[in-house]
Amino acid sequence: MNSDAREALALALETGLEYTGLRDFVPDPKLFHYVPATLAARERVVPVVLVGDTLKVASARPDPDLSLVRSRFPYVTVDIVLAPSGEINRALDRIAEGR
Amino acid sequence: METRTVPEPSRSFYRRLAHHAGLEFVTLDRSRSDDPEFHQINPLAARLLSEQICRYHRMLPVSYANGVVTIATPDPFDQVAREVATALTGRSVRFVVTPDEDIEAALNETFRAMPHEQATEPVTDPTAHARIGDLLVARGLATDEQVRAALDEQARTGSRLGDILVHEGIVDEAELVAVLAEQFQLPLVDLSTVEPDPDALDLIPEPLARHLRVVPLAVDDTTLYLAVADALDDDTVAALREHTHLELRGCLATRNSIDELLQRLHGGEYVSVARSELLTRFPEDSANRVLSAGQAVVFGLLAVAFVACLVLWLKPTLIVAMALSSVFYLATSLYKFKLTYDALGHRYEVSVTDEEVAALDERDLPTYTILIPLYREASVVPRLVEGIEGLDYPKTKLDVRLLCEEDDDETVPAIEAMNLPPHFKLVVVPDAQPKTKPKACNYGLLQADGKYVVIYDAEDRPDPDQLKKIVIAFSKVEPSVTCIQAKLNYFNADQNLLTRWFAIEYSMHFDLLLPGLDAQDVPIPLGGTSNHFITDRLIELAAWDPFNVTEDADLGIRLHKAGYKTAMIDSTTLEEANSELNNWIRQRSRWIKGYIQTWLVHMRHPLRLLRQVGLKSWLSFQLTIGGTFIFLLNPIFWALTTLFFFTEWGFIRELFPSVVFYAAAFQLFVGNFVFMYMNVAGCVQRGYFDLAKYALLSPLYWGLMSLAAWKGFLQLFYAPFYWEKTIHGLDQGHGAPAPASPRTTAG
Repeated sequence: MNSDAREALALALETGLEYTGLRDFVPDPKLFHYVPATLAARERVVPVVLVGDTLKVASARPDPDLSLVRSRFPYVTVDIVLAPSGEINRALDRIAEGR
Repeated sequence: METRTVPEPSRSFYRRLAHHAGLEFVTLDRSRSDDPEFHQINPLAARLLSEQICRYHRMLPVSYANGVVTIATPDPFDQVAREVATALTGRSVRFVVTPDEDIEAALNETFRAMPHEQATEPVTDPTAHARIGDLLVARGLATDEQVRAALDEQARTGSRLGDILVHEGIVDEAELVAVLAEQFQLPLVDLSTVEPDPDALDLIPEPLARHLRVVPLAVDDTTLYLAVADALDDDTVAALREHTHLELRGCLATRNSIDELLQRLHGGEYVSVARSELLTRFPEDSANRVLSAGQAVVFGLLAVAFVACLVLWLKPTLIVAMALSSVFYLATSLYKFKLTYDALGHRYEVSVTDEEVAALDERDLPTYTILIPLYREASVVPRLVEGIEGLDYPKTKLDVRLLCEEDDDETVPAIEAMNLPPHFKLVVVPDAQPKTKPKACNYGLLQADGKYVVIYDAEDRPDPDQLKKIVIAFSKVEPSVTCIQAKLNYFNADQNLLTRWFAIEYSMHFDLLLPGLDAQDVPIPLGGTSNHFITDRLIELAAWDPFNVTEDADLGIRLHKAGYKTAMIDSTTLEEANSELNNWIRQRSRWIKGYIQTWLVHMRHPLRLLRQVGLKSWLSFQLTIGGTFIFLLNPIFWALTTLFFFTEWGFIRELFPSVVFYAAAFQLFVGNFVFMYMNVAGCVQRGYFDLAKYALLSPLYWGLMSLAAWKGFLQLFYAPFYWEKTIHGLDQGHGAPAPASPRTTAG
């Protein structure tokens, strides 16, 4: 486990948030309708999965600014899950390549 | 924990996306048309944005209602797309969510219909955005080919490109204005909901606003905001500068919406102008009262004197009355005989050849206003539109105004539902008395765009080249000619005996009598339709008298009094002859009532009239318009003759001492012959040889006329302005239903 993964795990334990790894993870492009790509790049977040009315968003920090998402989608609950920052960056890169 | 996305059916994803955002979800997939979420794509709305724009932003306008464009997209929060859509449609937009695959299929389907092949070099450059054609193509509103065809038309007619495309039905007027707004970098305004600021309205006088087609909307310390149909040009600015020195800012709106707003704001004033313009400016020429005070006194005294004479000297009084009547009869007969005899074999009409029409440069043609009064005749509108579309005149230069009464809940909705080409304008005349055709025409004239204006009835079938012929004719005649009257005749002449008589009478009236009057340079009582005017002069004369039920005949006299002339032209409009007896009597009673009204109006000051028009015209007026009284006298003479024939009552013999008897007998034998001869001659002149034999039965027709005359005369006492509306569409099997309302004195 590399350092940023450990960092993320430690942060998860500290904040009580969930943790997820994003190795080989290819985000569903449709989810960027919820989190626009520009916002994702700026806040370093990746939308992971939409279950019912809950959108899981992976982030390296516990407090990304996702107020835009909340204001646009008043009927969705945004759950932050912590992920290693390197893996988030690579996932974002994969999306950028795919576009 | 590793989270993986599970492939999810796209449709449910987008439905959820819409739900989360509080937006509507729609399905565009036709195979799901039973689905409550299915949304039919309106192709006109879809063309509000170009294919390029739609594909790039993955959106498609699907409907347009209440000023809001609904745009379907899988990405409802694409801010760039939203801004682009708002700017390019010029309207507020509402995004609805649709699955990605639906938008893809809908884009392909919508834009596949548009031809792409370009066999020749394109005439437009969609990337340039400088010319209107480029912009229209860039937006997918028109194809290069359509613009090319429109440019050809423009070269031929000189009309503006945008107008041509609108009249061809390629571009919507609203779409064109949106593109113009882009071209001129002007804001768009939707006038249907606008309430202009009264302070702004006060700055520009209403007639000027109407003339320039602008509506002041708002004003602040420095600027006056105006709704305009076109970018403000120097002339418009100069005219506005006379009234305000504020900075002027135009907001574009469609021409029709400006007209509608002006009507909404000023309908009351327009009606009062339409009703009272003549009465206000030339009260002595208005038939709003049947008799002037002077006339009432004179006629009263005459009646008293006549009765007194009858009591005192019964026989001599009657002899004098018979003698005067006979002289009047004789003079009328001889005069009409002379007119028709002169006209027979001559062509007094302005002649315009087919070659001249063919050589006409359409770029020089002016805008032509056609006024068509309608009342409760929705069924004739489709044929009417077809007829107007058949006229050989550039559509961009036609201004057709369908004049309906406000309470006509039949025709107005029918026209509104028809989605007519933009040169047809529905004008709803606010409800006000008198509810007559001339009032509707005056109202329609207020917004007329044309240099020339003509009235057609709904069922009229003018010669297709009539408008062009008139334009040429106006360039040939002397400058004082203000009206050119086309000939009227009937398309259902052979329907029954009544229509045959009617056609015979019209042939005589329009082919002989009116050209004869024209040649004599005396007042011509105009026919009810197909009289073409120079618009400005007509307005100067206060147009038609809304209180006169033969406003056209009256206008002919007023034109002459004002020193203007009327010419005849050899072009015919076919109408529907009244084929049903009661209906015919109603119509004819109105005409005769109107002629008497006209005679009374202009005889309020007989000497002044004499000074104004000269002796010849004065006498002609007495014999043509005043000649109407013959129909009232006829039954008396017929009764006397018949009575004498069967009883040989000596008293009757004594009423006709030798001189009077010779005059009366001459009238009986020669006069009747003359009128019959004129009728036959009219048929010959028009080429209706088959009808000539029916002219021999004319005396029966005259009997009907006298019946109608008495009905009309008596109505003058109790309902002078009542408009005996003719019922139309009685010409079974002859194609066009509708009304007939030209008028004539006739033999």
